[in-house]
Amino acid sequence: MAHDAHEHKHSARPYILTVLALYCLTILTFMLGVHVSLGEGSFAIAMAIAFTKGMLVILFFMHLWDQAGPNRLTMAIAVLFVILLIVLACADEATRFPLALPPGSFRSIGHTPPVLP
Amino acid sequence: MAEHAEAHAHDDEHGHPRLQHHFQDMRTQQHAVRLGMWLFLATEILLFGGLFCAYSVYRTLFPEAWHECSRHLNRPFGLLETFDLITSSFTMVMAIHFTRVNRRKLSVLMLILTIGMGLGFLCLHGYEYYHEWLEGALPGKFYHFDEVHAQGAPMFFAVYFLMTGLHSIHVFIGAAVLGVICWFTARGEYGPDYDHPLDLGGLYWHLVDLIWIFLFPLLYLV
Repeated sequence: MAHDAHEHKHSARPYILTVLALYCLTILTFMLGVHVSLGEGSFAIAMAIAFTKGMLVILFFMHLWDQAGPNRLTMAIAVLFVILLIVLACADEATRFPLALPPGSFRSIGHTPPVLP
Repeated sequence: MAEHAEAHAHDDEHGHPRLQHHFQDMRTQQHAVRLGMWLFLATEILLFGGLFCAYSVYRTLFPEAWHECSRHLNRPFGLLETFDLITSSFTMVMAIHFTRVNRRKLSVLMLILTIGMGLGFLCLHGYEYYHEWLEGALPGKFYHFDEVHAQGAPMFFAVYFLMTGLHSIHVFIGAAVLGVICWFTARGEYGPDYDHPLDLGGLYWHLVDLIWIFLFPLLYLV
């Protein structure tokens, strides 16, 4: 198969570049998370950075870059199903009427700020 | 006996003594073992997916608690653990690289470093758990943390302990698997023409790193 040609190069350079990129992105996400307040956008940015880091690990450390199609499909479907699970579960929770939500939770009946004992 | 000799002759015709009889050649065998491993990793992702789902639902239900509790986790420790696991992933991939270029001693050294960093991660996290235990930042009815009184705070720590606990179990299993693989590598079982167990052990270790890459911002940097 054509993509197997990559496997015989045996250069460590991609791994070094990948780990350096992962270090940089880790520092970036930490700085953004701790020192910069971006409100609602910060979660999306943190997740975008995590997805980028995850893709780097999957493609280069786990060699999905030069592996056969079924392996990529397996990974893609697993991630898709997790995303579906999360999106549908959150959609369910977000469209419930207040009585069906746990007491004290956001948007529930009688939701109050933190209560001291 | 004659049949055995014939079978061996048959294997030798196709190359490697490690080639299983039901595979045509080593490349096909490698594709098969990798696909099997990826299917297993997919089930692992789905296992963690359930916890990520619980995290997402409870985070939308208790945003204040999530924000306040996250601030009480030890962020520098979380950062250190992230660097530790990323570096261990790098040494793991270098172990595979050195096996493929026939540098066995370097490969063993890289595996020992990987296992060491895995155990280091467990020690760091154990230290965090110890502090949370002392503070009473525990899940459910065991929660008696004085500093956060937001509704849903015990849920944050329930999700935190479940996610990091399951992850730590994976780190422990990964380190144990790599210990066995390191032993076989030192004995010279793997080389440029056969490294399937090392390859698969590496995939597992990278998955452990991959999960932590998501856990770190989700738990420590809310």
